[in-house]
Amino acid sequence: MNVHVSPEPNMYRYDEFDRSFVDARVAQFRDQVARRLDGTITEDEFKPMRLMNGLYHQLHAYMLRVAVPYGTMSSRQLNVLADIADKYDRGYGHWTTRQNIQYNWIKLEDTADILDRLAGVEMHAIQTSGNCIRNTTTDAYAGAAADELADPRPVCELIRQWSSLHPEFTYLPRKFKIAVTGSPNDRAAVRVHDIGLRMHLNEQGERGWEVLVGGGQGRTPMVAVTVRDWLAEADLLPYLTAVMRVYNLIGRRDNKYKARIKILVHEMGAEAFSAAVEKEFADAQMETVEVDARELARISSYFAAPAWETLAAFVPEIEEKKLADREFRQWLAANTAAHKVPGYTIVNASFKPAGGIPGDATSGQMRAVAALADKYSFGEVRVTHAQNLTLPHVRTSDLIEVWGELNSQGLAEANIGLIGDIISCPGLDYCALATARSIPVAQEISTRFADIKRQHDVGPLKLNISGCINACGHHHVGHIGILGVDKKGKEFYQITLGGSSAENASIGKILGPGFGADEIAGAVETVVDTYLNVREQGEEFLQTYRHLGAAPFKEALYASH
Amino acid sequence: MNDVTEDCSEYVVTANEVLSGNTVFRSADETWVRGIDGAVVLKCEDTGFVALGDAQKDEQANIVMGAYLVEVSRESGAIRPVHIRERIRALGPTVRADLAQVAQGFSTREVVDQ
Repeated sequence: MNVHVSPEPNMYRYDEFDRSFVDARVAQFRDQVARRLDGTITEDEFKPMRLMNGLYHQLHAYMLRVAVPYGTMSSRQLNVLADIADKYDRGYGHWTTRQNIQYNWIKLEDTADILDRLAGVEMHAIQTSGNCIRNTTTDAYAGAAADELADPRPVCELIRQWSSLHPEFTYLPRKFKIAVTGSPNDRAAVRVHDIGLRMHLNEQGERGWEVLVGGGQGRTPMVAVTVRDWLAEADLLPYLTAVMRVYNLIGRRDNKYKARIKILVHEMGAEAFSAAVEKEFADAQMETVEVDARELARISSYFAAPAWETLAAFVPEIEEKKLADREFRQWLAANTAAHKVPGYTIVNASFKPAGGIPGDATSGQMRAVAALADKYSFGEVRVTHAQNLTLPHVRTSDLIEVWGELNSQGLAEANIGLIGDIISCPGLDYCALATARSIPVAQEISTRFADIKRQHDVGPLKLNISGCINACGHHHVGHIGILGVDKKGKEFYQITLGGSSAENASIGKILGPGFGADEIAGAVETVVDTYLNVREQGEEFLQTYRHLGAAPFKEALYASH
Repeated sequence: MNDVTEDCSEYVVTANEVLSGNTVFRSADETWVRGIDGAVVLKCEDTGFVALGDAQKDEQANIVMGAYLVEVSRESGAIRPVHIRERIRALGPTVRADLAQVAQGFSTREVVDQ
């Protein structure tokens, strides 16, 4: 029997329905595992059941992907994730590019116990796999960012409640991913999701949503198109329902590679797709609008702002430390972000040490961040889609202590948003779908750029690596992207340039022939050196690429071949 | 006349344990072992398929799942899958030497050196 402990920070807490739903799923899965083990059901029969509970089978073992709803969790939940790593895995977990965590060495017989442990702190692994609406993602700085219009998480939670167990959307043509941002500066990659939602305010200060549909990565990368510039918040769920109905009805099921909504939007044309959605929306005029508004108000109350103090924005000790200590100055510049409340700062813990495995976290590091959250950030932690953790509400006056404590855990590499902050999928070292390794490439590149001063001289640069065409490492939207492929049994790596998942999203273009495993890090270094040689004053890498195109990079990489 | 079987590739039968999900190999005494060094090496694909058919009985018994043949070669006496994916599956992951199949005495470097 579960002992339910509610997370303490200002975040959504389960009601009786949520609790009984998650408990029922644990009991159901426990029964399914028992029937698998006693031979009542075969692996083919069991596979869709385990995938609905986040349990994959990978190259070496079962892998369990646990949902961190919209990347928000409490210190108590993070401590439980650490306990699971120790008790059921091999002492570590891996932050994913969709703000979740996955464990690589899970045993089938333990999974129901793990899910039970998760349910005890209001977590689960539902909607982390299969052809359903997956865990909704959002800005890791939600509710804290200085530039946001409003906290997008209540809408994320509304979408979670609407999509979980929705009878129409349990067997979609393919998986379906929704991302939401409440800030004009897109840190949630909404333009490369099946549905992206961008919050806007009208002249009356009312919130509305821009609805983007048909973005995605994988083997056919596309940037989403706007199907509605402005949607009143009360119409959000009816409109999303209309989008899903059009997709569910017309989306292809004959070919899994053409089954994502981006293909449908592309084949129909944005205008025709949009018209079909509008017709469905008008015809159905769902009756739930008022209920949704009440529910959204109820959900929003859980996300009330923490008890921020009235503090001075200027903290002399911090300014003095900045002047005196270059390492602190670099960390402050890269790993912190502006908070909406004076005297507070958003702090990122970098899980990208030079030469390390991007996104891997030991149980000790998880507990350390949980303790820091309790002490300095109202018990709140976020998972970023770049595979790091965020402490959203740190008093600026505490930054020196937080920096020191993160440093002692190896989590203060001053590289957030820089070339060392590499997004990487697990690649062929773990993944059954991968065609090449990604982690060793990331390790070699981050080692070459280990000098933090050099990284800061290079400036903002997102380097993303995928070990296969499915693009879990988001290579299509890396300023520099690397795609690993198998070429006659050897690993080869293609470079793409010019991708972005930000508000100015774009898909990177292949630069030229690929490179061998022993050449790729050197090739990246050549690209970066070329940028440093040709950039104009103050120009970031992406700006230089957009300004000059691929020519100087091609020249540097291929002219001598 | 040449003995064509001399030119045959060599194979081992592999699968994953249902309970742990871990990679296992079919041994000479028709059990499943974790290390590829304990696998029985089968000469030629035909022989391999016979052994595979036999091993698949253990799928029906829920001991293993997804049995298939992996082409291997002998390198300094050790059994090594020919393709990198299978080498990593048998010996990896290459990025965590502490978690790789070191118990079998393989170094991480051996996983990918071909």
